[in-house]
Amino acid sequence: MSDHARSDALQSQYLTVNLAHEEYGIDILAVREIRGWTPVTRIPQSPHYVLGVLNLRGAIVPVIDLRLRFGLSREEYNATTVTVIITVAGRQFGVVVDAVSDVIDLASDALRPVPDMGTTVDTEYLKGLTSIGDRMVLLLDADKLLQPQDAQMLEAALNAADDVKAVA
Amino acid sequence: MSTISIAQFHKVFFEESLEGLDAMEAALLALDEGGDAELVHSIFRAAHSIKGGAATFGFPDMASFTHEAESLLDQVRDGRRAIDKPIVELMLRTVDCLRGMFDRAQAGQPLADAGSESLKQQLAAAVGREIPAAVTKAAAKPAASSGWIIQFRPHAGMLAGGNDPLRLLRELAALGQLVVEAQLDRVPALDALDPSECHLGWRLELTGAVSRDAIAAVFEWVEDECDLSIEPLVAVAPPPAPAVEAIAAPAGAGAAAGTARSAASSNDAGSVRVGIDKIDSLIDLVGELVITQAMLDQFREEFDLSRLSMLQDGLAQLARHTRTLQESVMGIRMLPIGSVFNRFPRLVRDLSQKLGKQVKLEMIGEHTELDKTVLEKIGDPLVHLVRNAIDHGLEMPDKRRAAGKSEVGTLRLEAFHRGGSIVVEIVDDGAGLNRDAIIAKALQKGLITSGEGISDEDVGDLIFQPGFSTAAVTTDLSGRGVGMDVVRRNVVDLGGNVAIKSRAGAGTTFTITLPLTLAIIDGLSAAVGDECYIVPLVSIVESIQLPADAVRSVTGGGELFRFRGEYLPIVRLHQQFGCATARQNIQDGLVIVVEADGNQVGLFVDELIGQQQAVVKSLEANYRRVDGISGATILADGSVALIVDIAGLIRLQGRRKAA
Repeated sequence: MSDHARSDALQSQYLTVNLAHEEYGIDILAVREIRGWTPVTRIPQSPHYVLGVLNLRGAIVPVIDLRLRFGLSREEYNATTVTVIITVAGRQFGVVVDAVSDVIDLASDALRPVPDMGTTVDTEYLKGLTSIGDRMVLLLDADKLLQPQDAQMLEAALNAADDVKAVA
Repeated sequence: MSTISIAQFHKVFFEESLEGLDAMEAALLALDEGGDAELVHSIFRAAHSIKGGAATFGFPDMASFTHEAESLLDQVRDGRRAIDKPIVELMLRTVDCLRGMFDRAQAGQPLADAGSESLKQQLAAAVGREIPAAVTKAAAKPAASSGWIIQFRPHAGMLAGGNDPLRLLRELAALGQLVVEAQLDRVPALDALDPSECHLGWRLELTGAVSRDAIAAVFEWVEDECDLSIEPLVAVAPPPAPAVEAIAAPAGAGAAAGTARSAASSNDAGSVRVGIDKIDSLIDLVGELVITQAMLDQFREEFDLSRLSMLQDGLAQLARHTRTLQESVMGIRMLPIGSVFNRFPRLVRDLSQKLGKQVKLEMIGEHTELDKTVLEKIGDPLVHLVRNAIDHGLEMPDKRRAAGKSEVGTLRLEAFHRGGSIVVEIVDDGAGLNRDAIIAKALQKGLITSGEGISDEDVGDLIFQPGFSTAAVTTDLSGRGVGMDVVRRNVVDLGGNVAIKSRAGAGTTFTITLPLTLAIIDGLSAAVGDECYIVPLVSIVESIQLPADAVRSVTGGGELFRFRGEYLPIVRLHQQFGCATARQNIQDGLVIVVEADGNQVGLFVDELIGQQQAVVKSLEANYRRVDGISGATILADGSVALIVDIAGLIRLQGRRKAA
């Protein structure tokens, strides 16, 4: 982090993580902590990418596998596999990635829109991309990672409504 | 923060004022049944502090509204007006209206509405003067009189408080022409005289255009330390009676305020007031814990086997302190059920008046403590049951007389501990359940196929079915479609249950059993494959091992087994929850017979691990609701185990079968 970058008012920092040979950035303000992979407790009736829940100092926190979330194949978890705990809108969840690599400073004008093609990731979860030297970093939209869950909540609510009807 | 926003005090002001309103309401109801002057004082004090707070925290509409109520109360307090039914009625509606204002204040909406404005006019009319609409500032100035007679008799200790009667007299003299007459009747003989005490009294005649408030302001600081009466020199004509009479008619405003309240309170984060003794005991416990920890810490440096017993003692102490600490912390969440019962005197009064019934309400065990969460959610079901009891249960006075009972029906609310539960009973001495009407209705709704051989218990159970209401006339009190089924579901959601006992002609008893707390449950941990689930102990009937041939398969893939003469379905937990590597053969595992909502099923698991207390954690806080799971808990090794929601699981099973 150079001093010159720090003086730039419109800059933000991103934690970069590795996933299937690509580099993704997560807004560092959303990152609560980084912890090594520990086994989780599976939750029934959950999407396949929700691995389960873990005990984060007394809070029950769901953990999703980012590879499965993006439709990639699941890797064996090893020594560098980490869980990044992210807080979005007061909710915490863990994201399992292959490895964390760096913290980068980004001026807001360095953010470029994602071309609608080419990546292994559905562009809806990205808020932009940038390049650091010759590396390309895809910036994740942490809010959107959670959003599909809202759809599930709706589904659950509908199920519950059916439930009530069935009882009646 | 260099600037202090007044908004940060709003929450406290709201809370205190709502408590004040509760106190006002309770005192008003007590007055209604003939109370003493102290009640009037407490009502006045509550209104006064709300007025003061509202003015301080920037709610002028509320302040001016409360001012009118205060003026009326002031007249009552001074004995210039007798307290009667219309006044109590008016003040009760004032309380309702103020509650509505607080709801709107919390929601950030304008405080005054048509209802409050008209009520304000009525209050002003009752005080004895009209105020022009919308010009509240002018109205706030009380009427003046041509003169006043003031009886001022300081208590003996007033001088010790630093108050000088002479100064008060001078201040009064500045207001107008003052005639002072000292009363020496209490001056003792010289040898008995204590010069530091005040023995004199005064009768003062003040003439001039002075308002009563101006005089009261002079005595503001000594109010509690003297006997004071301020009478007008010329008798004020009694306020016109019709103004008070007209008040009783419009009741819509209060009801509207009630609905607004429930909407606003749902998004309240909530807070708990904790007694200082509870906090102190917590601090003591934490101190003990620190000492124990220091003691155990010694073993880290040097440990040999000779000190093993010390270590064991230390650990036992640690366990004891942890348990007490846990109980104390839970105790903070416990509040007396009286806070829920408090609303019933008013409810019963209003309802019985409306229906023309005579009801005596008895409340027992208001000090029984319940978890705050349970307390908040039990209010509505209780209101429903009380309404039902008055509307359907208790008969009209003439019917009661004909049945040889007292004309006044009795409704008893009682809360007490039984085992690890809290029991709330709602008992009426009314007509009891109308067996024939219920059976007829159930036949009509197709809930039962024949009325033959149905036990009283089953009849009681029928009224808990959805959409069941036997009220011939749908009133706005009960019979609005949401019925006893909602009551039962609410109670069951809290981990409790409702039972009904009824004797024709002698009355009905509803018994609600609630868990002490929702935060900790007793559970059995069961292994399914390599996973561990907690089954709440309250729902477990028995656990048995079944031989393979005890299970009958039925068409559609279901399995049944015979248990105490009945066939129960088997729920294979590993199928329901998709656990891999679980045991498949019935004879290899265990069947736990569990019960919820009166349904029993056999839960098939691999094996039981043991009994344990589970601190319930929410899955929803960070994730979402999962069918068949009521929450999660943390095991001794720090890993997470899920708690099975038996009622949900049975519903899930039913749905899967239906699909």
